[in-house]
Amino acid sequence: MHFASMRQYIVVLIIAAVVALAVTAYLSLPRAYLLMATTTSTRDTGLLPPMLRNFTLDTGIEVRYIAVGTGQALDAGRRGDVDVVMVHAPALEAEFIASKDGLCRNQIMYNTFVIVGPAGDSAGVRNATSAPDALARIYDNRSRFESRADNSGTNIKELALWSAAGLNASSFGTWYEKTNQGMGATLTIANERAAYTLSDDGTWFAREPTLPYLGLLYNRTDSVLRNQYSVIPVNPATHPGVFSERALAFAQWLVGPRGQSFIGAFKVHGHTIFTPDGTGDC
Amino acid sequence: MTLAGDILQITALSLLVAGTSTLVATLIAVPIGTVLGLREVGSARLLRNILFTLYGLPPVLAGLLVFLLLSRAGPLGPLRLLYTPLGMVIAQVVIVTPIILGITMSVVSTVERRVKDTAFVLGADRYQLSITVLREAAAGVLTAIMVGFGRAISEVGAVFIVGGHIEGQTQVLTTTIITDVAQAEYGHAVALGVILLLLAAVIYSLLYRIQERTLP
Repeated sequence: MHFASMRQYIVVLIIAAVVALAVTAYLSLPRAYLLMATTTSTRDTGLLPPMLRNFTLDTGIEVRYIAVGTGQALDAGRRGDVDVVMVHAPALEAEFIASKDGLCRNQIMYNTFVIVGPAGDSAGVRNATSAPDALARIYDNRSRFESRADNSGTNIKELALWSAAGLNASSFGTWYEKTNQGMGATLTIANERAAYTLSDDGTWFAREPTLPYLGLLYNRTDSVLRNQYSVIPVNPATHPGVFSERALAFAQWLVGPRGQSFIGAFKVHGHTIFTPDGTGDC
Repeated sequence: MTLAGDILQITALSLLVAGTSTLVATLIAVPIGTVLGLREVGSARLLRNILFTLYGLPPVLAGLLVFLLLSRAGPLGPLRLLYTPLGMVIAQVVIVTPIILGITMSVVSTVERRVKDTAFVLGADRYQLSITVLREAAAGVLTAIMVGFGRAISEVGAVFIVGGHIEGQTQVLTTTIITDVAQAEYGHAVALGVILLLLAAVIYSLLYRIQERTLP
């Protein structure tokens, strides 16, 4: 290789780097869209893309989202990295508001937690008289159980149900497995390992065709199994620079007639997933 | 549905992020790697050891670090680079630079040992020696760049944490495969995997050609 050609390579390299950086920087210009942190369950049901499209059509406001566990979603709000959060863990939401990270809270819809497991149901969850009773049967039988263990709304509900059954999940043996992953991934693992798990019915119905070894074993509308979703704009007083007005518009649209009727009409594989119950102080 | 458009966009962003990171890392790592590779002893040794440790830096740790730096509550928060392609590039530069640096250093010091005496006998000065060595080491340096790009395009942890995997903004091939699997979209995931493989094949064969031509 000649010296001249090496200089050529270096010049080409520098130009290429500058161009690539310029394109990347252009794509990284301060965003104009509303950024939401939400939970994997709203993504995994497929609700978000069509709902956000409708919101954008109505208001001209573009929304993008990151889908993580409720704990992480609230933390993204607490760090000021997103403008609005949409989550389902009322106790954590109250803390989020109390710490002035959240501006206000609109509850928008609910679905139901269900217990799914191997179709053979050796623990007898089908015959359970209540959700805590169902978990107690799994415990008595030491049947394998997959816990999300990710501080998500579903995980928090699961831990509360073990407590209601008089059991302490932290003392469980190897039959109690922690996936540390989202709902979809946890259902896949439960399906492969013939395990029980707690799911929201929305994600379950969306994923059911791909989970041949699992069955819906406990599906009743006990009030304890109600899974309430809420939207909370991030407080601009605590986190200057968030798109507060647009976040409020989003929260209001969700509980308004357009948002509520879209949610009520949303179906996955023929099942209505969410029941709209919009109300709140935003 | 806009499936094809979606795949195209994801592929383009993967290439852009990995390519930009590799180019920037190359511009940082090759000059430094050459200088350090030429210095046999002394203070360079400690620096070399540190750099070789970074060589094994777990990508996901780099991702966590850059996330904490770029988050609005972090020291670089005002730049607002979290969940942007540029943020992803920063994370990948942190990952790729030590790789290119480490390999360049090794190659250069090996070549130097081989050509040093001859060059000095022929009356070369220090600068001319560097140029000669770098020229002789060109094939090895290209390998370093290839390895760096391979790491960047196949990396998933850091771009997931720093990019946030936002639809239409920061989704890349590897992160989309992860979320596809979580949603049992195995067909889509396999399609993206094939694209990833094809990209690697095309780029590596291109680089291999350049490498062959530059062999002394």
